[in-house]
Amino acid sequence: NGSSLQLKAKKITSEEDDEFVKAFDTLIAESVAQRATEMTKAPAPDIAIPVHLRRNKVLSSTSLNVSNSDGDDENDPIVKNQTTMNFVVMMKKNNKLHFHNLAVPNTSEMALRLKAQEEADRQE
Amino acid sequence: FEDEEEGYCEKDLPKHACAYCGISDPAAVVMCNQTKKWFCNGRGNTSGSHIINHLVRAKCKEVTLHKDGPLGETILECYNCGCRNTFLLGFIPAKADSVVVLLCRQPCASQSALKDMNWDPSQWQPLIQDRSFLTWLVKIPSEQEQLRARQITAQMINRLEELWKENPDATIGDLEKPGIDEEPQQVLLRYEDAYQYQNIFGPLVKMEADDDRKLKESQTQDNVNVRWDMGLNKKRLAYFCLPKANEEMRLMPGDELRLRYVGDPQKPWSGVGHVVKVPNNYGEEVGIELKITQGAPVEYITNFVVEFVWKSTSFDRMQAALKTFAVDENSVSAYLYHRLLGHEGDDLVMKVTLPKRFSAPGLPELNHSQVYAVKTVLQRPLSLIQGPPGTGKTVTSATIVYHLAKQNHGQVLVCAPSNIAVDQLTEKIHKTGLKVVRLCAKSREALDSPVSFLALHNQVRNLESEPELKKLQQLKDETGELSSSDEKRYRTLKRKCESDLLKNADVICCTCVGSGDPRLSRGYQFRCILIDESTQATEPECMVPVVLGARQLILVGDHCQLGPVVMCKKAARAGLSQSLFERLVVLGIRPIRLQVQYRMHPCLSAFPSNIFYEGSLQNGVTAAERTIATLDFPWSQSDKPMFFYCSLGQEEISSSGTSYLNRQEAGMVEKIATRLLKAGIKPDQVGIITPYEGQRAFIVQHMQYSGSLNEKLYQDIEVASVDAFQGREKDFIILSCVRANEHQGIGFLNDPRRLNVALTRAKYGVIVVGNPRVLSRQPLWNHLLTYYKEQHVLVEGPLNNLKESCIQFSKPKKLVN
Ligand SMILES: [Zn+2]
Ligand SMILES: [Zn+2]
Ligand SMILES: [Zn+2]
Repeated sequence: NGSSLQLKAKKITSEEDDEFVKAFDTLIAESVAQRATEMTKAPAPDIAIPVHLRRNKVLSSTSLNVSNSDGDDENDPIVKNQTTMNFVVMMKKNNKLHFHNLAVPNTSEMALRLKAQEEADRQE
Repeated sequence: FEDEEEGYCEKDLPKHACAYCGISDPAAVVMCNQTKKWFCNGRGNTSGSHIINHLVRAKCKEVTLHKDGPLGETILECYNCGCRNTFLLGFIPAKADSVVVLLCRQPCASQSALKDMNWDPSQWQPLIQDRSFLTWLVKIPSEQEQLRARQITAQMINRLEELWKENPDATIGDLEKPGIDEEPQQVLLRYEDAYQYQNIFGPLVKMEADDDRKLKESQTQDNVNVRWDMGLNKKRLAYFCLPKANEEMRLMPGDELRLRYVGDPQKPWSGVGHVVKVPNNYGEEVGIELKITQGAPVEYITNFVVEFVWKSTSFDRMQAALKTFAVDENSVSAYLYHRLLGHEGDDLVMKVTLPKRFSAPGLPELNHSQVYAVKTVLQRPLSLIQGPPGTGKTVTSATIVYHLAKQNHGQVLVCAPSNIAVDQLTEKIHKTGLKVVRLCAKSREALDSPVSFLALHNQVRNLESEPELKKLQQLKDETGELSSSDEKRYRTLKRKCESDLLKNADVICCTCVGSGDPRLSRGYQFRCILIDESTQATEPECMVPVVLGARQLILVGDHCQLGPVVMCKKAARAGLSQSLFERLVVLGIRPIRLQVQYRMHPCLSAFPSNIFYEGSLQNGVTAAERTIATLDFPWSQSDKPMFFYCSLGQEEISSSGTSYLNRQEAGMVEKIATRLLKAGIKPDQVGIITPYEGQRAFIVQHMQYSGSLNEKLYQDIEVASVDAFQGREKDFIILSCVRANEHQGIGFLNDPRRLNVALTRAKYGVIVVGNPRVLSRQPLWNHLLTYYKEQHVLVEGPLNNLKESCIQFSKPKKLVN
């Protein structure tokens, strides 16, 4: 759209900006390399998907039954229109499971994949 | 509310407002755990979002989301292992359900790790994409919001981060305060007098020193594991891994590190040691020799902290030299004084008896341009010798030193900025039969070199004429300590012997900074001074030896190769990165150029000769001498051991989150390396040059994991930046250019001097891997590509079936400088 072009056109390339891009690359590379050489001893992940989240029909998001850690669902970006899709993020806080709703744009790779999957399931 | 009209209002910003631009939408901001500052996920007019800008520039890695954001107050960490390095984290979706978890890319999200079949590791996607957070996790502020917010440029961000290092509470408003961020005075071409010279260079040296100190002191490393050992000299050695040793710390042998044990508060320990081993590759160890062996907690191996002990010595010596130049009339001859300051003057020719034979005993016969150089230099008080790659600079320098010493004008002082260069020259001068002393910094005495036996401290040790010293030395070596009276006697004797040896030497060799050693300042005057690799020294560094009495000064170097490394950008911008040699060239002093190169296959020298040396390089080696007849390698033209291997793979920016590297190029490099090794080339004959640290680390890893040969072989191939290869040679060089991105230039490979160095390291063969379409936009690279094309060595396809590429080049952009 127009306004985003406006900002893009204004993007100023400078030595400091180039330095940043370089430093960013280095930081990622170092992080990855460090992990590889550290031979991190983490237990192999074995993450089960809780039953109540299984076969979570995306398009029928009204049936979602999510225990939100904050207890209030007011802010939850439950899908109300067609531009986003609802995902549930599994998290651990103090070793307790928590679930959060997260609106992911329909155009994101993750959403597209899941939709394709659902489509395929329906065909069967 | 008068400010309202101006759109942006400084007051009343909540605590979680972006510290750069002031945006405070809870869904669009992230807190840096380390500094507790908040930043937004908008990028304004920079190449990354504000939070990423901060994390990268301040070297922070962990973040927390805002309590009013979609996920509530959350520290982002790996669901499985708890890793909090944001740059390693990403989401992985369940195969069939709309459920996601946050996992680190290694090991937790790797293909083999995930047990539960419900997750799809191939779908892992990093939290940070296109240098901002995933927009559905942290919102991007709207265009409206961004335009209304404080407009902050990359320069301002940079300055603000710098300011925070001194004062964490500084705000963007502080940037406008006077005194902050004033640009220093630029270096000049000509100076009125040495006071003006000192007034300009003094502050630059100080800035560089401050930067160096800040950088080094910030490099504390926690959680270090130590491997203890004992040296042959009975000194305690400690080995450990320091991931930042190469790139950030630029650790050098002789640097001091402090090692602290923090595992048990009851048993605190800390000890200082000199670096005796620096790592060549990632994951290799740093080694230090402790100053005090006793008491080291060798029973522990974990819970150590390593800190850098910064020393101002070299910078102090430069400042002292600037001062000496300003106040001491005798520091240099009147003639040199004026020439160095750029005052007009005639070329002076001195009356000397020229030697009958110009080649020196013990050294190779000189060629015509070398003889010309020696002859000319001997008759002039000031000369520049330009030695392009492989032209026998060291032999020429050593020969000059030989004749200078034989003219009996006193001792000759020989310097170079780096210890390696000093050692190389020392070795050659020693071959002429002159009495040479190599003066080392005390901190480097433990290091071995090919000329260790010439080092002053070793010559003192081996002195037969002083039996008492020998006895004390033996006692000290055996027991580690002497009684205080013995120690005193030992020191007096040692000092006397050192002084005798120095006085009796024909030639004294040391680094430029090393010539500021107090052992030389006591009454020494050197009429003749030769500085090798002088184009890699900053001007004040060069002045350290010069002010020791120069009457005849010879600067050797090549201003068409890399210049001195200056860490402080401000000082570099002000001109500190220009060498004295370069300035003298600009002033109109013509360097004498050595013209016959003995390193490269004639095919390899043609391009650099034409582009960087006006076509003046001649070949002292034939193609046959630089061809390994039995080598089974698929050169696309059998008589030309070079090709440009086209890689069209775009840099990966997509879901894999590896925008920093070029996998395809790394794969091509590995295949070439493997093929060379299979053909019987030894790993140490091969050098891989790549300008980006990211690609460097990736190639090292990739070769070991994907290469079909023994891992160890690949580990012994040196993979490094251009700068690390300056002054050295390899039989084969593979150059991976990497940056195949539309938006960025070719980075620092568009510095002609860097390209020159990269192309002139190899003796037998050069393979360049890169994307011609992108590279050809740079005029210099366009030349290079056109040359390769004309030679029919611009190729593509599998390595064992290379075909000439018909790829169209891009139009080169106009040269900016
Ligand atoms: Zn931070
Ligand atoms: Zn911001
Ligand atoms: Zn993990």
